[in-house]
Amino acid sequence: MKKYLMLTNEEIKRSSKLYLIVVGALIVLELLSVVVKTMLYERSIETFMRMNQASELEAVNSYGTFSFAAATSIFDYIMMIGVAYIVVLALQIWYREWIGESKHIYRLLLLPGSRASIYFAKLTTVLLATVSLIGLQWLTVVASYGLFDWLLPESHKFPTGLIKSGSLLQVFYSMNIEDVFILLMMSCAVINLLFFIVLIERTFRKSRAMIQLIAEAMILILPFGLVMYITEGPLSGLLLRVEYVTLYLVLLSIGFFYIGFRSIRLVQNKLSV
Amino acid sequence: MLEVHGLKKRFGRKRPVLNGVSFSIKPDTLTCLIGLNGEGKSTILKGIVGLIPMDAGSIIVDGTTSREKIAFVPDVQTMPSYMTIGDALTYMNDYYSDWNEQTADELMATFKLLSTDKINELSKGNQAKVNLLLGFALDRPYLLLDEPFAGIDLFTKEQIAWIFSSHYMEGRGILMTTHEIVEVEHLIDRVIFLQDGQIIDEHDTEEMREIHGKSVQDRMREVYQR
Repeated sequence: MKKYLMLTNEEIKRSSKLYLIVVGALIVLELLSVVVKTMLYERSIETFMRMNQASELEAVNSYGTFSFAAATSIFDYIMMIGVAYIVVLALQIWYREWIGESKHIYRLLLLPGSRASIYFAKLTTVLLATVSLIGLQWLTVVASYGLFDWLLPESHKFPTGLIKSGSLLQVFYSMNIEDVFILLMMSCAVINLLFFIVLIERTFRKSRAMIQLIAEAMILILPFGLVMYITEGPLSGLLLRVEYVTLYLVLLSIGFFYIGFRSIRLVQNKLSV
Repeated sequence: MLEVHGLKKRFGRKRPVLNGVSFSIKPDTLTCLIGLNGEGKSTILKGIVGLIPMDAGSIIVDGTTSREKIAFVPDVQTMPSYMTIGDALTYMNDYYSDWNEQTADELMATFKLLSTDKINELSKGNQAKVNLLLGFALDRPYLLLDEPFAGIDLFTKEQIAWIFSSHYMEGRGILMTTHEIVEVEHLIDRVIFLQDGQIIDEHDTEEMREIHGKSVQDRMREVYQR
């Protein structure tokens, strides 16, 4: 446990600089986008009034009110950059041990105690980065709303909630605890899968790694295919919708634990410098 | 005693790098593993400490399979790039219960290293000294050194070679791979010659001098120029 905590602390220290730069840049970009979009709208209203000798009310009626959803329309794309960064972090957190002037993998694999701590420390770090990214983005949305509220007169606003329905943000900023749990589980599963691919690539030589990846993909996909074939074919209509969902959730959980188990086995017994 | 039994290793479909290598390292001896490039010297060391899984063979350390009594000094820098020497010493102290702070401090002073220096910014020679320090400051009876003299100047080699005649060697069984044995030849107790994944010759150096009438360096030339 002590080794795991120390390694996690080390991983966070090593990742924090780049993380703060990336997340800071995303937040600044989002806040700036709200300011710029709101000011552009205001300038359009002013231009309309000047060109058409119209009153403010006429301009707003003619030009339309401005919603927070419109002010934050590029947040989805910025959030995609955040998601891409998490994917890069999940890969970089392993590859940096082999690549570069320092070969820290020697030291990691030689540390006393179980090697599984290395895996869990890296997983924890990427998960913490994911959770804090979501948390910081949520705060940014709230701050952006404050900024939007302050910059735009009440009569120019289109009354909407914080998040536009159908937006990517809706997935990330759900206030429903079950949705948050599912999002975290999905993040964990994706990170786990990325780790597994990296570990296979690092453990086996080129062609063997490809064969191993294909074999593991088959092991993961086959049960789903089989269950899908049975439930859609011979047993079609036999199960209730909730039972289908439960069945697939169980299969997903088994897949998740299988990947975790295999990754830990690779780190403990096969991973080399 | 550190016993290596029948180590075998093949990378991919290539010919085996190690083809049943067996030898032992006694306490209080300096053994030199000699071989041309690509003969598997480093693979043996990495196999012994578990950095590369072997296809076959076993490692017995004082009657057990635990490798906690072995320290390894690789030929590369192994600390995260942001670390200073001071950070590295703290790191070792945090993780290893057998880390000897006194030895570390003494070697820091001997090698004239500064704790505030970043390891990645050190010269190759000073990086080699840091590596040796990190290995020797672990209170472990067996120490494996991978090419400790590779790519460093003569003066630094002599500074590093000093450690092999110092009290830090006492009671330790040391296995070292190197091509450059001139500086340490007089300190070597045993040599193992490796070729085509097998041990082709193994001698106590005194015995070798008596039998072959040659220095280790000359015997090395003779073996690999065949």
